[in-house]
Amino acid sequence: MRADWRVFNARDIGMVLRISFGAWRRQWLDLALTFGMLILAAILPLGIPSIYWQGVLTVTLVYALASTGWNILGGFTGQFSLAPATFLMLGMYTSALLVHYRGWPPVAGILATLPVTSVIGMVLGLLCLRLRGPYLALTTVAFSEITRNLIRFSYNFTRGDLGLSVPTLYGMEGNRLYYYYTIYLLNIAVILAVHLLMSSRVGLYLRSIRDDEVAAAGRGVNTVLWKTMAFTISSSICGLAGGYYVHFIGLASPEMGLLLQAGFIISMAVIGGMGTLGGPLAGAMLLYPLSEYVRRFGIQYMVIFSFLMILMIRFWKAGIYGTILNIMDRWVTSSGSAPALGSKYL
Amino acid sequence: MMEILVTGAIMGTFYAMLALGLSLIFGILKVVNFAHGEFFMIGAYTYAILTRTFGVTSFLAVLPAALMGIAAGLIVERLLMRPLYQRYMEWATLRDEYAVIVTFGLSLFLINLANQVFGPYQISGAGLVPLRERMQVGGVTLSTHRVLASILGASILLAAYLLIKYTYWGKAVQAVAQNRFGAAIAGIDSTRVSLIVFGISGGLAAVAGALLSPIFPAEPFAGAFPAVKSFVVVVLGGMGSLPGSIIGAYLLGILEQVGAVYVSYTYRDTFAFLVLILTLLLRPQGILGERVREV
Amino acid sequence: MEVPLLWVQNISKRFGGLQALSGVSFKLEEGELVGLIGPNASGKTTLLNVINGYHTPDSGWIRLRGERINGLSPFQIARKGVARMFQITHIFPRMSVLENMLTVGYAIGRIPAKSLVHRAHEILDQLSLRDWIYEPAASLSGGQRKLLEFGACFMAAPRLALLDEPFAGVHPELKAVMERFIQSYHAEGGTVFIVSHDIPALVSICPRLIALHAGVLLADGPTEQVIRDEAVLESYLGSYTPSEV
Repeated sequence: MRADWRVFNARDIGMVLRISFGAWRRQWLDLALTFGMLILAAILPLGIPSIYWQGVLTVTLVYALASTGWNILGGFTGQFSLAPATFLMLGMYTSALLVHYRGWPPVAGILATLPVTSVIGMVLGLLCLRLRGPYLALTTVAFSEITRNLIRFSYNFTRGDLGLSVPTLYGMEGNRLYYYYTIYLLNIAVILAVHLLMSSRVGLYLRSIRDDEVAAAGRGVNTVLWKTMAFTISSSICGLAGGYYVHFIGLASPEMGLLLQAGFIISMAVIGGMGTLGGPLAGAMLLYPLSEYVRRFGIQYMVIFSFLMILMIRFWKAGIYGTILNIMDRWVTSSGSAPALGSKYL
Repeated sequence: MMEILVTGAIMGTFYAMLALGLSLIFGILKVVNFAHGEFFMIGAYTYAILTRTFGVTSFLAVLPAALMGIAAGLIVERLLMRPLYQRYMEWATLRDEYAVIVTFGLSLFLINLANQVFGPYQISGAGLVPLRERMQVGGVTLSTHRVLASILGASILLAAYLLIKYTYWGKAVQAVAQNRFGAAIAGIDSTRVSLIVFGISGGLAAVAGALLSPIFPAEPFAGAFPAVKSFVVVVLGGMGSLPGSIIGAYLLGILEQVGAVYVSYTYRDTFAFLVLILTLLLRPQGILGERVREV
Repeated sequence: MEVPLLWVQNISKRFGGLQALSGVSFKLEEGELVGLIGPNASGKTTLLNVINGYHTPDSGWIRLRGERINGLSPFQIARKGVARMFQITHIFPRMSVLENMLTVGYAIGRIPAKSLVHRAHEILDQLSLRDWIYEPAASLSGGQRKLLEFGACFMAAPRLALLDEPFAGVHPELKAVMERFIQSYHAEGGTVFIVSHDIPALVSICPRLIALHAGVLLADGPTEQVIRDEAVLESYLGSYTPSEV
């Protein structure tokens, strides 16, 4: 038998522990930094008495959730879907239609988005299995335009461009902070889940598919399974964000499925740092409040953000959060050769 | 039936103008330019503003529109596309994500910039001849502008095609498309080839935008639909295949008309996406494309 | 009679007008170290791709320990213990060297997960990549990438290791490291199948050679016999120059 390699014994347990921690070092560091940001996010709305800005922060976290969802697919698995906003919209309509036609309570509607959007995501993933790079991006564009048109033109069922109004989660006079902390807890849950996923063998599989799909298959990674899985998980997280969002703003509209929104969500992940746990959260916390701020001066916020996104991907691929993570990573590792700023893990 | 064919062929000409450029870019860089529709938009704005605001004669205004498109193509190539081939090895695994994000970002940037500068209003260009004029083609009554515009477009398309097929630089483009390293060894300056390709495709898209602007007015999102349709055409015809993209363009133009007349007018813009998804599933290499070896 | 580890029977493969393989048959027994030689475009890499499942053969079949594997997808074949080293290095550039190794170990799953990190360290030590384990694989030099690819191939204790041009473009010192590694793996009972242009290296380490020419199996037998075979000499060795690599 060939599998007679030394299985770990009690004597070198310490070494194995040290080494094992080494293997997932970056993931744990990432989690620690992300929790730093989450603590900041926990106290932020308490210091801001303005109801308007509390609402802005709530929407920020909705986008953070959607961006985290996209990051699983785009950042970790390298599948450049341009449909995150579509899944957000699908989540909104899933919950809105169930609440509107079936009289479900909003909480049930929000929970129903998970199975519904994950099934749709899985189907899209299966459609895209053999496609990569530009082909995949094109197919997701086609998917999102078809979906948006279907919702717009099924006027009798969805009210089309007028939008479908639904009750909000805590009622109209509900405390804004309730809304904020609900989405905050959803974010924490999702971030922990993504961390567990990425610091397990699945994380390795997804990243190996991103780096070289052919080689990953040749080395025993079931690329079909894991790509579909990434699509499923990513879409269900985006859908969940949408389900929550619709019961915050109280209106589902096909506007949400515009490619512009997809660009907004993707730019958060890119500017924060693709392929990191906290990058999308950092990006959302920077970009969304900023977008509300510049809107007052009559500036199209996407002019700035898409420009920033181009600059980042051109000159600073690691992103803001990604760079901080790399610097911390280098402190911890303190191995001799220090790669240039931001170039580590590209 | 004749009406469907003629109208479809007219739209097909414009799709072909966009798709040829897209296909050329895919040929040499193996990426899809998601900002292609914004070249179209630039052409549309230039033409519409020149004819409406400055009262320039419509035939003359096509030229500055083309120049603006060419300039936009050159700038994009110079600023954003260089990393795709100059640091070839280093970017080898990153190029897909770089290309998708950078061109998608550029598309959003230009759309929103147009929105910021010109506002979300529609500016429709003047027709080549007054838009009310009609003429008979094969027993079908059509607006003279459409017919003239498609004839002009088709001749520019033909000129560009012949340029690529028979001139030295055109051959260089084909050489780089087939084998970048081989072409470099044979002494072809791939930087210049890439500039030429972006110039041509920007120019073609802008002329298409200009000629269509009386029908589809210039607005920030003007490029979105023509662009996605030309993506469909390129996939349908086979990525990187020039004859394929022209055949695909006419095919899609006619298919859309058939769909709009016989199936549903509301969903006329959705047929293209169905064609795309079906093509990718049934024949991913397109009508005339080839599969590439991966290992 | 014992079932051979790998049994390739009458494999043919055509690409358009090119007959890449025609009727190739051979057997590899457990614990053999075999070299595959042949001029450029003789179908060597195609043969490996067919065994790996990247191409489906037009005719014939392949059995691993009597179990038919052609028609399975590449990852399934990899999980049955057929490891592959690619001619063009296919490492995962944005993962650390250790993660590269772990991915293979976890994915193939022939080794208990607990001992994977340990085994990765052992292999990386032997390939003198110890100092780079936490560095992204993209920061390795060309030769080191080749070593990493080589190491990843052996990470999951494969039943059969298919090495495509392992020695091409590698520094002589690293080549010696690889040769030593292959020989010790062979000594422990592992089966290795090497495709290479480097005839001297193959002759020195492989007891058995197989020669391909234009998709046809020319010779198969003990090394001494194959390199003296007239057909082989004529098709390949006669025109062979060391600088060809």
